[in-house]
Amino acid sequence: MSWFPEKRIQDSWIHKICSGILKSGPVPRHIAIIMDGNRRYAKKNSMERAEGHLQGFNKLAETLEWCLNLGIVEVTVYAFSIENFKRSKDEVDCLMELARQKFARLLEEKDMIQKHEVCVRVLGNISLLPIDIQRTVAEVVNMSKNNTKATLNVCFSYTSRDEICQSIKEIAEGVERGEILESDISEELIEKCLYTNQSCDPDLLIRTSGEVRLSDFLLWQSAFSVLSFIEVLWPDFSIWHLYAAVLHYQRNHDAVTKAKEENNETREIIQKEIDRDCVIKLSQQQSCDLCSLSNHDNNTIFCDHKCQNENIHAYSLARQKRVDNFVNNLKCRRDSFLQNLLVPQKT
Amino acid sequence: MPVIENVDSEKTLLLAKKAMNTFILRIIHYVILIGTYVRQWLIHIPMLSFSKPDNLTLQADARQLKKLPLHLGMIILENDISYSDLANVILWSAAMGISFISIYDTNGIVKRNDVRLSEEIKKQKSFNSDTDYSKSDIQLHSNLEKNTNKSTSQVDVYLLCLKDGRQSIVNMTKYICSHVKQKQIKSMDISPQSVDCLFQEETGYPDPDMVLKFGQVDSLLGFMPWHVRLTEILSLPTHIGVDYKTFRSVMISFGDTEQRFGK
Repeated sequence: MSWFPEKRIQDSWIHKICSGILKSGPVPRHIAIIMDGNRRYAKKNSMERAEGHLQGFNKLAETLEWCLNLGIVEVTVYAFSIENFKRSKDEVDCLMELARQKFARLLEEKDMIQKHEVCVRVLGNISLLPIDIQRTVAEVVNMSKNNTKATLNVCFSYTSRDEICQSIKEIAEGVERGEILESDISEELIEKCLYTNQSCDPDLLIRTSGEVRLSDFLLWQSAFSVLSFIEVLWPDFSIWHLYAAVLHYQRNHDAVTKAKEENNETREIIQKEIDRDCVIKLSQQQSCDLCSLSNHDNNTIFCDHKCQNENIHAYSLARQKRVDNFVNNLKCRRDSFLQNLLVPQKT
Repeated sequence: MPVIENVDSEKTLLLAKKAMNTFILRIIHYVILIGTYVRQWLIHIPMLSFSKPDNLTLQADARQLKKLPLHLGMIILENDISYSDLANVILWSAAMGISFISIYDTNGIVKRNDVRLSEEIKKQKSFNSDTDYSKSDIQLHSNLEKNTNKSTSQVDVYLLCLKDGRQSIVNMTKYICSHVKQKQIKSMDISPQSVDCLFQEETGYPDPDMVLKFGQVDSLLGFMPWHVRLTEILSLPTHIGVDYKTFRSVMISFGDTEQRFGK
């Protein structure tokens, strides 16, 4: 089945009314989905596992359309976890084959992607995948990278802890090379090194099949997301479940927004403290001997204070520049990894 | 001019539609709100037959569970905090055999009132001195530093706030970077396993098996992102006046969950 189902049932009037009503309240900009329950669905309906996974994929295509109609512009889905490599070889092969087909299908449906202006990103440790899938992934990402109307993030060969560790590793190497300082490490810096650095945090996280855990999915990013655990198996997910989840989000919207703001404030305070400490340390190192010689009257202390504030400001600008530079380099490296996959191998 | 009139009437129609939608949405939310209150109230009626469990009941109940969390996290999403109820839950958990407990609220209110909480625990213990509640040795920790001399019967209670959440990953990154710089860790060796080991070594804070959210907000609000990887997330409408029966029912639903670890 296609990623862009021909409008099967033209948006029925009841859906139009419902989405109109929902849109008059806050609608999440970004939702994350753990599509759980394909295998249980297959078992329940006595079909092959592969069939269950296929049904699950079809549901995804449908859900993306519902989201777009509701004004949800970014969707992140958990398609394949690094832990899933532990499944039986048959099943892993089957899932890889499904991915191969579906990514290839995306390439075929290039026109539709460009028409809808969907940017597709694949988040995860791509290098663990078979090389031909890596290439297709690179092609898909490359083809749609300039689209801005909507975003689909496919977490493939992904776990959140792996993602966080990749960031830690990049930062550690950056510190080792001297691109950034140890004191530059902050929530913001880690965030900028995550695979999701181009997205805002998900506002709503949906997990189907009644499980009530995150299973190593977007642990960092979903810290302030509204959680919606739904009993239904993923292939049975309907537009009504989505509406219910959005209602649930609206009920929690104020509390979550407040907590996020508090977190941002705390973050800024911590950053200011670090900048101040760094400036004090630097000035102590540099002008210790000078200080001890000069006479401290009120005027110089006032000047010191003023100078210090200026110094802190200058320091924080320099730090931002360092961090931006580092993040840019990282982005270039990641982009060139994908670009290299695009070049046809000469063997 | 008829054209402009037309545009105007279309505009008013659109505005009216919008106002109507807002109105309907508000009603839907009120209905849901009333629904949740009624449900909560219905659940709370059997509380009238409230009785304090003794140690034997607690241990017998614990044995009946298919599994017991080693580490229970509690997230308080309410503005008012009842220290006596928190003390109760801590003592029940300790008597059931849970050895680590975390209490989290974004602003760190519980953390700042650790003295009050420990007094309440003492008080509850003395109320129940006829049972062996009092035997468990409960240690409160206001930060994630490792405690070295841990006895076997000790129950560690961590009081946490927003700054222990994502910030703990930031601190770990700093720790790793300084060790990489000093060539004590190779950047090649940074992996989920090795970082998790470092977390364990540095803080001794195990991953919570279960998190119990108290309050109407359905979010973790920054609770320990690294550690909630496989945590079962359950909720109760409030911690104020929470009775043992309710607590036992969530422990039973935790006991019945199964994890597949990606398989």
